[in-house]
Amino acid sequence: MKRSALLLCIIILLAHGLATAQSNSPVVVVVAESNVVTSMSAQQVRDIFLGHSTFFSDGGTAVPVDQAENSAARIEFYARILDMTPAQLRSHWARMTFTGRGRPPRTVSSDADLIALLQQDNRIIGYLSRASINQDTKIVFEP
Amino acid sequence: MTDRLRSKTFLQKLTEPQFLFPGLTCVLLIAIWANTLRNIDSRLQARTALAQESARDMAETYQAQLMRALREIELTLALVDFQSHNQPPDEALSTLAASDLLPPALFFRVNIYNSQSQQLAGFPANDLSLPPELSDVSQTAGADHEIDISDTFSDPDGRTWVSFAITHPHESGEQARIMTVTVDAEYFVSSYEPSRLGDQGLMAVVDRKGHIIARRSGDNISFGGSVLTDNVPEALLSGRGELVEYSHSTDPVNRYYTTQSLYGYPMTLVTGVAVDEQLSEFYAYQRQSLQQSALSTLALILIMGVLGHTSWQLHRSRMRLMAEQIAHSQHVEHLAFHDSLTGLPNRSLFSRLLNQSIREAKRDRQQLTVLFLDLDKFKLINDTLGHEAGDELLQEVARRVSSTLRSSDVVARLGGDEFIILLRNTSETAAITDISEKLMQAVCEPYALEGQETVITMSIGASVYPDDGLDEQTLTKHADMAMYHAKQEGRNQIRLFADLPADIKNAEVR
Repeated sequence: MKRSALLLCIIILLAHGLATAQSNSPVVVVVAESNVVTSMSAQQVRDIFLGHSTFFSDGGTAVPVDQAENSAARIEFYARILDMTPAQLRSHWARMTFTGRGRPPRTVSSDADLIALLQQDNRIIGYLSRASINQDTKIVFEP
Repeated sequence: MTDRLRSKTFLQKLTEPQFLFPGLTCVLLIAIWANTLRNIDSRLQARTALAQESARDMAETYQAQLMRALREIELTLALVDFQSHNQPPDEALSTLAASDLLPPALFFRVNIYNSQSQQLAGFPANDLSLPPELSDVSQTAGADHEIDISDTFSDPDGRTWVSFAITHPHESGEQARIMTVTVDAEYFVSSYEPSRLGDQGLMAVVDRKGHIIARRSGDNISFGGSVLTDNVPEALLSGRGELVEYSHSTDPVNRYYTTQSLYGYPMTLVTGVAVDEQLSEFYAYQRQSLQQSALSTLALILIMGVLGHTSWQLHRSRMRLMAEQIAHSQHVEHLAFHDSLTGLPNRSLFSRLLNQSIREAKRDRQQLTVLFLDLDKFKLINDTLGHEAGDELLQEVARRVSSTLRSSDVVARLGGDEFIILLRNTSETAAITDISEKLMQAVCEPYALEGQETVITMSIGASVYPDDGLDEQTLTKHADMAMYHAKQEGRNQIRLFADLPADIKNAEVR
């Protein structure tokens, strides 16, 4: 009886671990709650954050916003979605800027700043830690 | 005429397989290789031109990008200068940053310093101090916002930076200030495209002192040092964008270099494309062409070899066939004009030869003699010893007679035991008698037939041209008559027609 209870506990713990592992990314891509876009593909997110595209899939303008350089969220985000180091990302934007094709996204210094920005402008797309999600944000992609 | 004949034989020679096929092979090989080498050469020229064109193109693109980047830096400095005219430095920078008017913080730092090199403001916030070579306010005081550039310097993160500065001179109510835009040096070589410049290309920005601000080749980025070290061609020193193929001891890669000065900015840019890398497509083409031609050569030689060999064999067998036919016809002719038992000329050949000799003798006023030979009692031998022994005897007689005569004389067998001889240029009785006696002596030597020793004699009649006859038939007939007379007079002797009694001579007139 005792043994079976222990076994049950272990199974529940394992199942929970498996269930959450799939979508337990610490950073998530968000847009304003008012944005009509509900989900995005990894490629769409990549294109917007690398400056190759400036539109959402519905044709609306997309304005990417980065977290501060060297912040954990930023490093995590680019590692997950593009497998890029900060130095590689810097090289990418140096080339984009130097050749006149684009400028790096503006940066916010915290998740709260990003949420504030989302409330002002529903063209904004950003990423933040899952913990910071609130009713004004909508997750469109989980890397 | 002889020339034409000779040229014809030369042409004929050319069409013989042993000359035709090697000749044709040579001509085709020359054509194949000439074509291949010409194609390779023209491809090399085209590729070289393309590589140079691409090098010039890239240099120009790069120059345009760099010029634009520098103008942006200059514009930023002017903006900061303008804004700090109206606001305190830190507020001025915040205002500009809020309006997104400052360059990306990822690789730019914007700072304002006072004349004592103290930092008044920085965006993004940083602790960069003013590079000493930019700190001399007096030097640029009053100058027309001329842009200044520092030496490169590294930060603790390993990034290399270079600062651009303008100085706002001390004016009424305003402190002198120095505004800087500091740029990650990598930024200047960030447009390096491996797809166009390759792994061995070169892109570099050099300051006025010749020091490298940033240099990139493939994925290698370096700072400091100099790009072009020894024996730099004059055209590269001028910075007018001329294309020069060049390599030097510290960087032995052979490149098409260009150097371009940047209209008023204290920098020079250097671009280079590696010649071998740009021509790699050509080298592949060259290798492939040579391989193909080598293969074609082998195939051609093989085919021509087989064809030539076959043809040569055909030619040879045809020649052999022809030789056989000739030999055959010669053999047939020989059979037609010779006696099969003794191999001596037969009657028809003899009469032909005699006719010919008569004509010659007539023309040259010469004389000749015909001897008619008949073995004595040959029938007896045939009857007692058999036909084979008789044949054998005839053969031996033929041999002995032939070997006794001069080579200019002709002996023929008329059939049976009759032989006839033509002695050219002979008419004197003494000579005729002499030859006849030798012949009789040779013939009467004993024979070994069927294990028995046999002896035989012969009778000879002679007639002389022109005394005893003027044509072949008469001469032969008279010699026969003379021989007949010799037989009648006891055999084993010689009789001249001229010596025959008149009644016998006349008997033939009937």
